[in-house]
Amino acid sequence: MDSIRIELGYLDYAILLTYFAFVLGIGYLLRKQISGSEDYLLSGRSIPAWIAGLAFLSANLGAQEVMGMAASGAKYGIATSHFYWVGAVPAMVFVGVFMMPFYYGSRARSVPEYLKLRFDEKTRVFNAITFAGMTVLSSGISLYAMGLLLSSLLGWNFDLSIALAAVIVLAYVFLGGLTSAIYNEVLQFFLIVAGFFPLVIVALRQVGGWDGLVKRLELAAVAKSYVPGAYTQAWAQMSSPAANPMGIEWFGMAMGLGFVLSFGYWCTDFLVVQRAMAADSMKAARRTPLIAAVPKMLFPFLVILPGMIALALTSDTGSLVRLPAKPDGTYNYDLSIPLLLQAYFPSGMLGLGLTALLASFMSGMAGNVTAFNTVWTYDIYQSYIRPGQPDTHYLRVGKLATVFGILASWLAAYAAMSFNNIMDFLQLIFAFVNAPLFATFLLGMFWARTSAHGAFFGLVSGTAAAAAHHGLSLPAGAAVGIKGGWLQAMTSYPSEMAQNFWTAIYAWTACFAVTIVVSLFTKPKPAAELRGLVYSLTPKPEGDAGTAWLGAAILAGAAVLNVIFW
Amino acid sequence: MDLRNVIGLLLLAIGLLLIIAGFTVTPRWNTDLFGLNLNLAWGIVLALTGSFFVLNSRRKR
Repeated sequence: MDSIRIELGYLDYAILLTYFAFVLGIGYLLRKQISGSEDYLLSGRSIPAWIAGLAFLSANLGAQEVMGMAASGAKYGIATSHFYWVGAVPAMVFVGVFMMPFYYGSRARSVPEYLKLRFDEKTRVFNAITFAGMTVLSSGISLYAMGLLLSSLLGWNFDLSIALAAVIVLAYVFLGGLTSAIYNEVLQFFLIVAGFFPLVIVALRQVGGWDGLVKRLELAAVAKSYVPGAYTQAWAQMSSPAANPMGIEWFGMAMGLGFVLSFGYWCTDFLVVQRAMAADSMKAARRTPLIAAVPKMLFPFLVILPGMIALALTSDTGSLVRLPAKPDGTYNYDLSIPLLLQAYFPSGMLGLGLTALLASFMSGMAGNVTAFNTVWTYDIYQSYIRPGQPDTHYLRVGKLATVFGILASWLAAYAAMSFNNIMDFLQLIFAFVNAPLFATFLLGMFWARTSAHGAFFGLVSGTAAAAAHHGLSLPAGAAVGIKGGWLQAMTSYPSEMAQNFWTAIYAWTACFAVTIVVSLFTKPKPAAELRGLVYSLTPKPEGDAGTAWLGAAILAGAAVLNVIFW
Repeated sequence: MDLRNVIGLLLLAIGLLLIIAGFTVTPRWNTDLFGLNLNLAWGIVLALTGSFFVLNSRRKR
């Protein structure tokens, strides 16, 4: 990451310092509200719906989301919006309307604990360990991306940059626990909108508005031997993998991304589900993902559009605003947002834009650390290492887990330096872990016959199927190794994204099938033990018809966006 | 702690800093927003939004 350098003025630093002061101030002021481990790790189930909703959205706004989606916008065009309009939004409606009654109503403190209540200990520990590893890795990548960005854009020392960010996140999470993380995530949401909205308006104006952008991207598509609409039509070019830059056809997109990966992430990943579980009532918990889904629908205009604009500018040979090239000659798409910040923001707005970027990295990191400390304290330490201790003991362990989580993220950030494709690697891990887990939840919540052995062997089989598919397939142009083909490269995909989608489809299908077969041959839990955990055995929430209607309205909104950008 | 107050104060503080920048930083040709000074225009928007949040949190208290 070089050749883009930003010079900050004193007002830019003042904005940055103001943000840091508020973030730390929140942690400091909230420390007095912590009296036990539930306050620290679960927010005492006291968060109003609108705050939990915005935190639900922001916890996911890490480096991968903001810079990664802009990079995908530049690489794949408007098809990246499928992550939102086909993937995230329907999944958020599903978890709010159908799954939250079980998560919240069961009084489980975490997703792994729900698995214990529904199935057994072995399923819980499998999920707790894989999830803890995933959160640390994900948090480390946010930290690494932040250090890389600050060192390359501002010339700050890499070690000092990640140390500063880690210490700030540690301070406010250590002091105020989950409540502090949630409050800061809401603050970070407003900063991200305040920083990126004017950037999109100014940059879009520079390329001649939406019509000008479309014309430029049509030329870029033709230059790469695609049809003119390849970068600007979300569905029209999905008839075959060769017709669009993402290299995927409609079934792989709808099934792999829309159903398996997105539902797997938004419905089962404790990082986001934890925010809804911290809500102050069942109604608030159900509405949390729905409230998040409304701004989520509009986020492509904030994070994908800048990438498309960066591509349009770079494809114009007369433009002075261009993405820098990597040593291998390909464009460094990750720098889409920094490129526009440098080109179109004066000092002042530059400080705000940079603060928005840092806010996204810190919210992503804090989200992972708070999920890690809860799963570690309740699902691993309290269950297997030191059960039966007083609550003050688990509060101390929760705080120590926060410190350990940050230190582990710090190490993971340095480990990430040795991989040049760590983002792809992380997406692959989601396909390994979240995709089969969604099949387990789907069957566990909606089919009372699902047995504990079925769930466990289904999960293991799903993960093994993901590994086998990865080992037997390879994206075009990639070397055998971490990108696949390590068993034998029998199949080739046009892109890493296409390979990930199909890995997820195989993992989900294997888990779904094996869970059903094993469940039919093993004994399920008695119905009395499944009340509140399974759809058919749980009384339906009364007096909350508005939630379902809200969900339907959100789905209609997403459908309209799909049609508009078809 | 009323979070609306915190959000409001942060937006107000950043808005005021941008307004100062609007008067002190020379706008480049490509940083105008529809002919406006970007720092000043967005600073006013943020300051007003922040004030709304602060006033709203005080009124409901």
